[in-house]
Amino acid sequence: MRGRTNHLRQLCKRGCRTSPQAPELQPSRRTERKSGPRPLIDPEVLGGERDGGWGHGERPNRRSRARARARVYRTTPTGCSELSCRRAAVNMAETSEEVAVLVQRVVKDITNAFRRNPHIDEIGLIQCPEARYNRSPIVLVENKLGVESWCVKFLLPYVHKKLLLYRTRKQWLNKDELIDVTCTLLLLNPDFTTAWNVRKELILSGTLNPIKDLHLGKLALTKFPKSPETWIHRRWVLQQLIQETSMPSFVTKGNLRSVPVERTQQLIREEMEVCGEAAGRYPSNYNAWSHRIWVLQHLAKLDAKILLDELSSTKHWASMHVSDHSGFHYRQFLLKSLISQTVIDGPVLEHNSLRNEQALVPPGNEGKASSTEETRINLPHLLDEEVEFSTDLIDSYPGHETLWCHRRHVFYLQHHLNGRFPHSVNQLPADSPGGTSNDSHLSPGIPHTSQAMEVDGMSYFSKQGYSQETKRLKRTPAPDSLDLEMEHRFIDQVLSTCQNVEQARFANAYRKWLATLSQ
Amino acid sequence: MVFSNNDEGLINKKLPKELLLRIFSFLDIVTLCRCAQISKAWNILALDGSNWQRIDLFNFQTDVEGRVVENISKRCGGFLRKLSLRGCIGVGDSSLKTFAQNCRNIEHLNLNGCTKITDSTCYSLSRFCSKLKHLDLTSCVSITNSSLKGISEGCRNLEYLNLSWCDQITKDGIEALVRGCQGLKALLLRGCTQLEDEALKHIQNYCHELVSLNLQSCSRITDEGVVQICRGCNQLQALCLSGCGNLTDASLTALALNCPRLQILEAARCSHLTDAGFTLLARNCHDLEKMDLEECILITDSTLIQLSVHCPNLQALSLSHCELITDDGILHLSNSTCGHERLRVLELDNCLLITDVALEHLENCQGLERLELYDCQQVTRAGIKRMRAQLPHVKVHAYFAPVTPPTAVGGSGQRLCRCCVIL
Repeated sequence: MRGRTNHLRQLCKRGCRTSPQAPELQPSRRTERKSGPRPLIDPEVLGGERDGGWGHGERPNRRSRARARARVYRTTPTGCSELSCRRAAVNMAETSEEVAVLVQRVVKDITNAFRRNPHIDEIGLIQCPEARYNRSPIVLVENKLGVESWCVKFLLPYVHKKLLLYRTRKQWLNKDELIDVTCTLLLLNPDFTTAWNVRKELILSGTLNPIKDLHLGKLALTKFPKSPETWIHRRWVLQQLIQETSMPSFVTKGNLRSVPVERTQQLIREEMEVCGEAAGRYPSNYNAWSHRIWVLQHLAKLDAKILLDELSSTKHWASMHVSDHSGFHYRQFLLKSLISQTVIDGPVLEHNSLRNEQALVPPGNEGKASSTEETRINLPHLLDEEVEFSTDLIDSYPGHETLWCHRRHVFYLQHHLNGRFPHSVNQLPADSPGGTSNDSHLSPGIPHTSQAMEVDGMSYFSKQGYSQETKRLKRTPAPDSLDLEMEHRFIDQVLSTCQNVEQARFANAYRKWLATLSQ
Repeated sequence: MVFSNNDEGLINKKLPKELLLRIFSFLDIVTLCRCAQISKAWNILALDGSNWQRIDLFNFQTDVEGRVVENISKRCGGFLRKLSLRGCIGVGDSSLKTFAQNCRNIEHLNLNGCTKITDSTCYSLSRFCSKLKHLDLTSCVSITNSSLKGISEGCRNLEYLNLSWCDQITKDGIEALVRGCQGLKALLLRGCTQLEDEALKHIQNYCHELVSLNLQSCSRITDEGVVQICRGCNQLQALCLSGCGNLTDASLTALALNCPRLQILEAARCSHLTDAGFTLLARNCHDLEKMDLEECILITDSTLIQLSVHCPNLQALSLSHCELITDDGILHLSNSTCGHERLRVLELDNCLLITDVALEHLENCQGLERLELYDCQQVTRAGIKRMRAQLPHVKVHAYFAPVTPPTAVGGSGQRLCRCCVIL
């Protein structure tokens, strides 16, 4: 039965005059318009069908319902044959075509804006409810690109659909079109993974310069500083860039003219800047800070000099953002990494990328010993500085939990460093088999946030290591009791001078935590 | 006899095999494959090589792996004339080698977007497919000059070659190519940014049949190269120089003096071109139909006047960003021969001096289908409305946004109309 109706439908498509034609969108409508007034459907047919114009007596199935909806362009949903109704339906079709044209124009405007000014560094939305003037919604002023809000409701669905059609192979887009469409899409919604993936494909096939993606991501982050997909894509691109062998076409075109090391340095600097900016735009921007950590791990390979630079350069920022937990976690990461770099003795030291020290070290044991001496000396000093920094901030800004958490971490690091330096080789590696022991009594002592921040995978606070430490402490008097005393004095001082209720609460909690440490 | 006597479809009884084959030859791939599943008889007929002369695998793109191409080539053998693998990113050199070996009569091959293929494919084509006439290698970025050397040796019948965005190509490749393929009619080199004038000199020397040349974004080209092309290729009908920002009127002069058959000229973003050059061009090339002069910012109404007088066949004209154009130029254009009947498309976006008066002039253009007025800030909604009253079929594009955004595709919002009750 169905076969026959299909057969009949095929015949009808070819122009049987007495039945409604299956409406083919776009191409045929345009050709019809060329030749004069649109031939609207025979009004008798429109008016007479009870089942919505299906003829043949079929039950409308999913496909036919879709066609019925598409038919609205030729007739009205009710099959009404009144002129006004037909005109309204036709107007809507015209409108959607107009929208398509308008959107294509806006995409072109965006492309032209980037062409005219390659130094655009910020994007934003301009509140503008309707297009009152015949003026482009893309506004370029000084290095800022603005998009008027009235066009977004047309722009976004259209480009979105266009990309999906490309992806589902219903429509082909050439290289330039793909780049323009994905660029527009990602500036409006950078969490659209498919668009980033299309760009990944273009990069892999050598038709798109990865630097452009970094630039695009940077722009998207000025408006969407948290966007997780942008950060993820950024890491993918950076990984591609540091694997130089995977980019043969760019090598031959001379894009990698600068020395690889230099280029990496530049990339690192750029990433630090991008992260810094994104962190400033959104409070406690976890994505930005963890990206920063990733860069240090994978691009800088935890080079001690860079770590030290970062420590000093983020100090000011941290003091201006005293509630930014992620910012302080970053400092903790830096300190942890520095410690792990330098406590590994002797020959193992060479495997760390302490490039500067290596250059200065003369061959022979003497040199190695002195360099390890150097870095060992610095560490306690660094930690002392950090404690001082923390003291300063706690005094200046009472009532911020972040500062107290930070203090706990720093103190803990000091605690470890002072107490167990020669033993720490056993405690350190990132892949240590942690967390199997039943140290339940220890868990409340550790600030619970420290569990969540194992971004670097170093289980410095792994339960196994902690239990060994406490066992040792039980056997011998704690060598860092001096430090503990200092802390208690500090707490007393805070409690006696503070007027903030929260501050007092935090101080007391800190004291309790210290108590668990020395158990 | 292939057909059994019992259980036979009517169509098999009534039509001889030859006619069935003829019917099948009209079917697309999907239908053919379905037919091949109907019965053994139809399987043989549907998969007969003669039905597989033209194949387009665009709808299957990422599904198409090498194996598919190899199977098709074995099945179709010498029958296959036209194959499109546009977008099939999974296809690589080895499958195309098998393909070339099996389908030696291939004439039309589209490898647009097959980014995996390298010079090796072109060597294979050169060895086996001497009948190749049309080859599209758009976006095959691994193609180098060696491919062109290969093609010039083996595919001497080549008439159409598209190397858009194959940006490793340099003048050496072009030289090798044109020496071998002197019958080239269309050469598309969009985005081949390493090409310089010397490459064009080689084209001048060998490709006298050249009808269509695309040098979009080949920004190193200067007048010298274009002059050479014109001298060598007098049959030129379509030329795209968009993005070649170094060109001056000297290029237009050369075109005027050497290529009288020119129909299509795209010179977008060639901002040094002036009225003088276009005047000479208009006076000599009367067949001009389409011109893209976007961002040719120096041209004035004078160019429009010359075009109006000398080019009666003008159908499409883009004057985007030509900020010196005024209503007066439009007046001349609309009163001309081409204006009255031929002119279909006119782009005046970003022509800031255009006002509603120009729209009044354009009411004479009975053939006008599309008018672009983006950023023409002196044009008003009322002016557009008035014009559309006279020319109901023209589409006028401006930034005055449509009033209601459309709902999702296919899903129509129900419209209230006076006579219907349903909302």
